[in-house]
Amino acid sequence: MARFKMVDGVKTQLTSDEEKARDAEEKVWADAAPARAFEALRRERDGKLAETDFYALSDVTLSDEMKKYRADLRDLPSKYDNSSVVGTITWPTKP
Amino acid sequence: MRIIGPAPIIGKVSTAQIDDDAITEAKVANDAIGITELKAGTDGNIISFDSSGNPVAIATGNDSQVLTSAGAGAQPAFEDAAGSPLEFVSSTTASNTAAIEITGIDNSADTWMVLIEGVNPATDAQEIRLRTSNDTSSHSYDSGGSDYGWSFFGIYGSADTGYNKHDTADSEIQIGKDPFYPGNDTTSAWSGNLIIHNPSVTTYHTMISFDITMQGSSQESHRLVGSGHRIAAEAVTAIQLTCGSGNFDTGKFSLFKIKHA
Repeated sequence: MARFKMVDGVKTQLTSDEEKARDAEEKVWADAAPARAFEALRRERDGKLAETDFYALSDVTLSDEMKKYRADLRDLPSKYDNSSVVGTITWPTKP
Repeated sequence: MRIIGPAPIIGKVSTAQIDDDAITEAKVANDAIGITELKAGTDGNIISFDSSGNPVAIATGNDSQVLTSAGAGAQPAFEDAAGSPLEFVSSTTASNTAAIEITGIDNSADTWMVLIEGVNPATDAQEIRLRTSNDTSSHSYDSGGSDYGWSFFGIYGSADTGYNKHDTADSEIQIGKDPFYPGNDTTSAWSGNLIIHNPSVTTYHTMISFDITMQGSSQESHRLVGSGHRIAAEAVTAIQLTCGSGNFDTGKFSLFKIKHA
């Protein structure tokens, strides 16, 4: 299907060369989906770890449940591959 | 007493019986002179007073001129309105389009601004990319792998964490990148502004700063602030915005130029 662009408010069909360039960019974008998904997973994982950093301080006793939760968070990226990471992520339950 | 001519009507005075210039202000009642009793003038003139206090007609002026005070002791005049330092140039509304291109950036102002309102990509979670052109007519947009540098700092509304990202050699300036993707959920939108600093300069790189705000899918508020530039000392005459993939479904993009004194 033909693509269009807006140039100063005027809708214009992409040229053949512009279509090819756009196709190439969209392929790069699609190919990078797993990398983006892993980045998002690690970002959210890091946030969840940061939320429980307090429990790991030396003057606080870390419960076994919290140890397991934090270990599961750290290990989470290794449980996914390029195919599964773009689907639903199952997060460990915070104790 | 014998009366020659028509007998006067008691209580009435005819015009002929009044001397020229004999009616004084005191003989005219307040609110007695209506606009229809004024002598006809020139279409569009307005009435003022001169330095002697006499009424004068102020010339009409030209279309779109405004009446400007000349201060105390001087008559006003119709003149061209003083130019606003902020001037609207053009506007574009996305309509299922793969790219937004804004041209017409030139040396008539040092600073240019693009206001962006309500962007939704057709496909969820898309990067927003910016490229520049230095062509003066048919624009092509530079897309070499090392053409652009950029950096941003983002405040992510669902965590007490900021995100810094940068690239010193990229094929575009990233103004909406993970985790600050605009989504295709129409209950949220991606809005902000781009400032193009001195686009005509050719002795150093034209910098483009951006400030983006967006509402996340869980009602959180995100903010993205950054800058980027074409790695070349060349003029910027146009910019292009694209999504990582797919089209812009909605969004308004308005170009303004800002003149310094």
